[in-house]
Amino acid sequence: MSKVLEKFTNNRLAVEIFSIAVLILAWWVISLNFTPRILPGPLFVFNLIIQDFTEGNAAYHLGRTLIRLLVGFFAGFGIGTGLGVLTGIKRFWGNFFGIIVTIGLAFPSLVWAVLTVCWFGVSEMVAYIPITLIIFPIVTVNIREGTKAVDKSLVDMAKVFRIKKLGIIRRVYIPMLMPYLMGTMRFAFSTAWKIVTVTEIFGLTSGVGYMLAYWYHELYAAQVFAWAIIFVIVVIFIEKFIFVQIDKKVFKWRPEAKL
Amino acid sequence: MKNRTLTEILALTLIIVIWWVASLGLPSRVLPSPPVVLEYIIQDFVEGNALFHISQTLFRIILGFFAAMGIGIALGVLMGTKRFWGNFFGTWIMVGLSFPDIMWPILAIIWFGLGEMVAFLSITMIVMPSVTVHIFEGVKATDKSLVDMAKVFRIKKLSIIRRVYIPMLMPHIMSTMRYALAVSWKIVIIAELFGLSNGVGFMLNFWYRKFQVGQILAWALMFIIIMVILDKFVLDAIEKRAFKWRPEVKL
Repeated sequence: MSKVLEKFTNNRLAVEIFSIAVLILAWWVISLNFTPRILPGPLFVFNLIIQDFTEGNAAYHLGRTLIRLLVGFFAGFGIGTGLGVLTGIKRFWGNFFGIIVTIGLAFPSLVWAVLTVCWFGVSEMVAYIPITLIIFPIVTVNIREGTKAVDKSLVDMAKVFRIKKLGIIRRVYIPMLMPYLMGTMRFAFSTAWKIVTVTEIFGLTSGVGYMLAYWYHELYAAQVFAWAIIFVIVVIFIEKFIFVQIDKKVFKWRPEAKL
Repeated sequence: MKNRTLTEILALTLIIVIWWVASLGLPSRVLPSPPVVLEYIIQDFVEGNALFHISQTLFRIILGFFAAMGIGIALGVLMGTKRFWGNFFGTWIMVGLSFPDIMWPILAIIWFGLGEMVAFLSITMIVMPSVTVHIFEGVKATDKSLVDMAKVFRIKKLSIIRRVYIPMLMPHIMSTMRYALAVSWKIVIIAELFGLSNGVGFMLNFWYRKFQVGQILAWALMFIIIMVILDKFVLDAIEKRAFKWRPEVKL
């Protein structure tokens, strides 16, 4: 018996499945004591999710949120990468933008959301601008570290061979920055998806954040759970499948390490 | 152009100048000039009750922050030392990390009503999973041979934790602390805006409802300056104390 138990505790996948089962079971048992308005059971939420997709417009809201997420994410990532490389190469710009990045990192996303509503009214800008402004300092800091770690001798060699500046950036800097870019991308993405729901609550009339706020005003926890879980599943899917695929493609040239 | 402080001052001045110039072309309702905002800040402190609101917010940050750090460190150590619990809580932490932040204040209000629980629960639930992950990584990176040596000398489990694990974990704990503090101060504002009737987040919402950009900027700047000071001075001081035993490196 103890051998079977030992085998089980050493099997990672088995333990993970077990832990999810425990989580759902505990949720279900606790939920029996409450109405769905306060704490719905797993099955109830599952039905709600299906209902939101078939009868409601979950796909529409999810799509709106994802578009906002991607626009803000790419804008922030692009600006951050550009600034990160610049600040990593030129010391003057490193100091100059260093302080701006510090201020940017300290700004709560909520303040940006509130300010953009005041400035642009209720529009898509309310999502784009806060995501961009929150993400770019994070990206800048990480890419700056990456640029500083670039092997300078390779850059010198490229210069000796009279390769154009643009060529050096494309052929030397970017491949060496790739690991940093990939790591930062994941982190920036996980930050972006948390901000997008906040901004939607404030200044938009569609999207997952808007629906969360809507059900909050109805004080109906079951739908809050349903929408949060829909969102979590999509985000985990993007993380586990899309990012892993990009990772594989980008680093295809690497020899595989067998352990 | 090699002097760092000089460049930083130049950057700051440039931001303020751009802000000032932009404010000249726009009505003050949309973008007030820097002196106007400064005046608001002084006014909020002298005539208003800025100190009260900021201290309320700080108090909430500290409560949630310590709860999250405490639970996170305990869980991280457990997960790092026992493989079964590492796998077991690994999935729970993953789920916890994926929830949108905004869900916690909403659920806290539905469950507990408007009150201090909203801030406490939100900060704890959002910050705790990332603290756990960081500490988990830290524990995995500890030098196992030192633990083995302690065991050979028959040192009690509690002492091993206190004398071996914690000193080795200190660098991880410090960096996690900074990260946790930065996240906490952003979440507390959201929680206050939703479910509390005082604090910086509440005031931001109050002026937002009146569309007073000047006051929004004033409160945001006040809060950010205080948090940056806290991060730079208080945490730096704690770090210096924690690592006092380290020989100084002269470059």
